[in-house]
Amino acid sequence: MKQPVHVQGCGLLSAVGRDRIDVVSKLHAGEAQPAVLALPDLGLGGRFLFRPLPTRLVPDGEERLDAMVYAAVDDALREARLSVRERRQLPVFVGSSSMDLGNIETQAQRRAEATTSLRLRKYGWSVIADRVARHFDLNGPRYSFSVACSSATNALLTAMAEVAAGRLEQALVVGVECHNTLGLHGFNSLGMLADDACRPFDRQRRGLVLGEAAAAVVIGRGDGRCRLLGGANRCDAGNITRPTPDGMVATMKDALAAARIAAGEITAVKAHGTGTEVNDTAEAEALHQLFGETLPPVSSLKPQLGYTLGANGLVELVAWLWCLEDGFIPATPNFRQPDPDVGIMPLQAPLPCASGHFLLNCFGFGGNNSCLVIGYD
Amino acid sequence: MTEVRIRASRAMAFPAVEPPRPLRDELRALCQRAPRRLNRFTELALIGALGCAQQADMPLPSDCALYLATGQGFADDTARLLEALLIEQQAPMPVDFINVSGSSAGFYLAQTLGLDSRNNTIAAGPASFEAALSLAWGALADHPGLALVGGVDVAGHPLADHRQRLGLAPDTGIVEISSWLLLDSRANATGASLVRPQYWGNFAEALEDLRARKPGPWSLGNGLTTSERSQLRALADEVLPAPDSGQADTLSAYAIASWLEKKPSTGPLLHLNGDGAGGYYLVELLP
Repeated sequence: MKQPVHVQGCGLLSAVGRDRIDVVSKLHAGEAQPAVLALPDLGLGGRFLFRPLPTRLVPDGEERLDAMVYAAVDDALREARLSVRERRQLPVFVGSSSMDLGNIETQAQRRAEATTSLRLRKYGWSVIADRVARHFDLNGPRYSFSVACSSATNALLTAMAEVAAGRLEQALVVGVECHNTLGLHGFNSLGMLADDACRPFDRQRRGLVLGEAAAAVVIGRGDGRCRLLGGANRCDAGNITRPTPDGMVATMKDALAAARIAAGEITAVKAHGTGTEVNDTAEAEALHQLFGETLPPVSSLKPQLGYTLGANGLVELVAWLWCLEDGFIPATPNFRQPDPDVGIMPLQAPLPCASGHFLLNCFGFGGNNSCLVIGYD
Repeated sequence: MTEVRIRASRAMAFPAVEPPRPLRDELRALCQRAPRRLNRFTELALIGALGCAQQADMPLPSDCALYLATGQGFADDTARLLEALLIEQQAPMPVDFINVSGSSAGFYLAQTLGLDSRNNTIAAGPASFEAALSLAWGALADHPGLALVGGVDVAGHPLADHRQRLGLAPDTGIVEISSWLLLDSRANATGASLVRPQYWGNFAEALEDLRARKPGPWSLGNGLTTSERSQLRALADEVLPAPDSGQADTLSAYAIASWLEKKPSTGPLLHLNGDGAGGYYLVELLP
């Protein structure tokens, strides 16, 4: 028998900070100026726009990623106020696309042997989940998801299903993406990085501005203000880098059906909204197909948070939720010129909102499409 | 209560050798229109999954879910890209970068097999396959249907670098794996029954619960320590020999699929494994 699932605690470290009041204030103000990262050590003349964490939040070094994750998890666990028993049996679901690549790069750059062979100490896709469990003495099962940009969303959807069915009482879900040069150069080689700013749905959109963040949520059964009503994951296996509107529509419809919510009941959409030509065009067409003439307000958080790749679904859920708690839906900064081929004007100013149903989209490489429906009151 | 059955299986594992065993011809024998420019991990995943699908005696429906378990994923390819970037200052080529995306193998599996449903790649150290099996079991208990669940790990080359990367002794054997089960929880499902995988957060609790189990053939995974294995051997009437000598995080997939391919008439099979971080899984199969 399925039971309702809600969010019991959240933590977030992102380009707009860690403290909830600070984060909400920045999201309300629409601050979205990317930093310029130069990568002189590589001799490639690399100059990339990026949305990094504020330097005061975590120290640089080989354990930077761990510090990010532990801070977000610590905040989520504190807020969830679990009993000792609940905490000890808590399972951990981690979603990330680069896992601990940032740490590995730092190690490699600092060691003499990097000149001959990379020694990837304790490499494996489950290392973050194992470290979180050990650090916080959590003894439940650990699952690590790596499915590109839907990683953390799929981790959350799976945890939701396990909790809703009663197989788990609660779950800790973590999404993390830490700065790494391979990711920056990889997306650059694909010609997907913006050279001025992230402008979702804008006629002048030129691509992604990557970012880094760690987010954590504790979910459990019962009623709460933020209810995870349902979601869906599907694979649109047509083209590995070009999503189709049909694939997106099918996923959004499945998510709404799982949540038992009609499209007309959606208060607003948190779009995936990457700022790339291909993704925004496909997502806009999908939203028009699904909602027809009654498209609800649409916003993208990527100009402010950066595109946090495998973590983005969870990072943006927490940011969206904190804004709702403060009574508004965040706007999409950097939008200047409507694109007639897209036909979507994202929110230009924060929209007062105290409750409703929200569709949160997350579409990854490999046609890995995931959508989540939440209720807030 | 929904019952989850294993409709088909494919056990595939072989020792990693230098130079690596070529896979392309093997893949083309199974699928003439196999995608090109794949990495070794995806080629091996496709060979195993296509072999399992062929055993099913039915075309896979598009809503068959996919759970791909791996401990190391594309470690070798990622290391190669990093070396090129950090040492030779060469940016990754687009196709190489896409091939180390965590969803790429799942995408090509879905494309080749005609699947459009849930698609996940999951890791949990040496118990990655058990973890994926556990989540697939849950999904099929909630929504009757099919799920293809596989364990895939490849070796990096040269093998000495791969061993070093994983912290293994220079003489440790490495196994490459692509072993798959097709799970079916529909009303008309046939095949061995998969009991809901059980998890314990420490070995003492696992051992206590296992003392009450019926004797049967036991299979011990490579995530167990020597001490844990000897304690479990003392409980068991029969312990199946390890399927292959060598290291791979998803060796359990091969152990379970191998047992099924022998079409056992007695059982149950009790497969116990550790995740290398204090967690233990029991997978129980009823023939």
